[in-house]
Amino acid sequence: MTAPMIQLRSLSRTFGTTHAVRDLSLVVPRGLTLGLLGMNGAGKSTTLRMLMGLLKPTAGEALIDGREVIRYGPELRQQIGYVPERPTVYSWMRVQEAMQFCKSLQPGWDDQTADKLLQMFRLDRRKPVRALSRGMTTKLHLLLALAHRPDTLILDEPLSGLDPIVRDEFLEGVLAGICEHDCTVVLSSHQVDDVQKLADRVAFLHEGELVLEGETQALLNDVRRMRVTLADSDVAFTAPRGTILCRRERRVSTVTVRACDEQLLRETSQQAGVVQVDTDVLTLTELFKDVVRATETAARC
Amino acid sequence: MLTLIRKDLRLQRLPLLVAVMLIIAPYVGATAMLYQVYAPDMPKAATIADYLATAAVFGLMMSTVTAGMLAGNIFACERADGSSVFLFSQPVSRRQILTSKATLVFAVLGAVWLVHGLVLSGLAPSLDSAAKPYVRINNPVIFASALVVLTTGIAWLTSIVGRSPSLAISAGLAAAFFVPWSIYLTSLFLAMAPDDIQFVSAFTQWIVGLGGFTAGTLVYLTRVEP
Repeated sequence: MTAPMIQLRSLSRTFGTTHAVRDLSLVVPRGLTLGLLGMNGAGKSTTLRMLMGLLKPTAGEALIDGREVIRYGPELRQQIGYVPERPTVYSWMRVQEAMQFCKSLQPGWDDQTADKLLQMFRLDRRKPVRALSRGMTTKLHLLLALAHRPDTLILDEPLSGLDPIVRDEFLEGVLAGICEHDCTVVLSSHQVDDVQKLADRVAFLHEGELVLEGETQALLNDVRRMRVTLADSDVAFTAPRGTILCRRERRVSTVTVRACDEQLLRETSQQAGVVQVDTDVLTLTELFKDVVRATETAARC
Repeated sequence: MLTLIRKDLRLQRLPLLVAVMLIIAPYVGATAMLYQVYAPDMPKAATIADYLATAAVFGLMMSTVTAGMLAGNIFACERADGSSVFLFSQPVSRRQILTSKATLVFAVLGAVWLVHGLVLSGLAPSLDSAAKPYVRINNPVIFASALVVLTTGIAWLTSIVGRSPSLAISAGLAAAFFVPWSIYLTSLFLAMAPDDIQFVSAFTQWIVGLGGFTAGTLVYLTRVEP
């Protein structure tokens, strides 16, 4: 594993009595893309705001490139591109003014990159920001976040509001290009399939807690959905080790399980009353749903 | 820094417009009154000087409104619409942002006071060395300065702590009303001499204003949130 670019150490944040993020520890190696997945209110945006140094953690710390984000905020922001969840660019500015504003503050601003993105996103320089649609404003944010060629990209729901064509262009063109340039990306999204295309690693958050984390491909290779057919609906079935979610419907238990190997399958099929065991490969979306369901419902095998 | 000041200038366009209007308004009013009272005759130089001095003193007192609008709007307007998040995602330090905003507030207030000060102590005395404003306050400049400092300090603090520009402006202007009156009522209760009341009032307003400004500045520099 390469040196960590982003480190979250026991990060917590409470708002009154609500725990938005609880004891979150994550490491993102340099040049990798982390997809942060979770439902609304899972703590994704709060985590990214703390990572950006825009919110003080109640406990723990966030480091980028080995430096604490709050202490070294202005220096670090020269190498960070950030797209917030909601548009925040000054609405009275024109697109050109917003670009000029960022250019004068970002030492690494690259006009060529900015122009290329401007064309790709079909943004009109003369248009006032307030006249842009939600999707176009997101594109402007992306442009402003990328034009100084950052080492680290923090994208909070960047794909929301983008039309499918630009979304694909962005996923296949811009972000894929960035990922090749040794740029570390943290991306939060509801669009699990998009994250699957991009993210080297994924982290599932639920109610502020990290419920599952790992390399995307390894997780998908490891996790299987077992469909266990039992001899009788009264047969007791014990959930195998590594179970994420277990649901029982009469004679059939559906078990989502981690580290599913030959031995585990053999052990499961050898349980008393088990007639048949079938396995399915899961998509990231299915895995995400199962992880969320598992935190919300009690296992019943 | 220039980028930040330019941005703040644009953000404060409305308070700046009000500031310009409040600079001009007392002199327009004085001219209108002179015209109404003396036209078609030309008033004496001494009369014009007195009217100018009065307008200048009114201008200084009205700068309280400019101070409240500027200091109240300066931080809260960006917090209200979330654009402070955009600003804080750029490589700028809190100190730079604060310096830019403080520079703008003090430069504008300084300019307002310079204009009225030049009229009061330069233009009016050049027409009549005994020019005197028609105001029944012992030292109107100290009175106005105390109000401006108080309003600026409270509006500045509220603008930093809160997210609503209107609340911050209202807080600054309300302070300019309530603090002097509270002191006045307290002094009546304590049976203080009139000269002492004015001194205590001005002194307290300065202390509260500077306290508000210092507290706001410290809160801003030590806070993490935009």
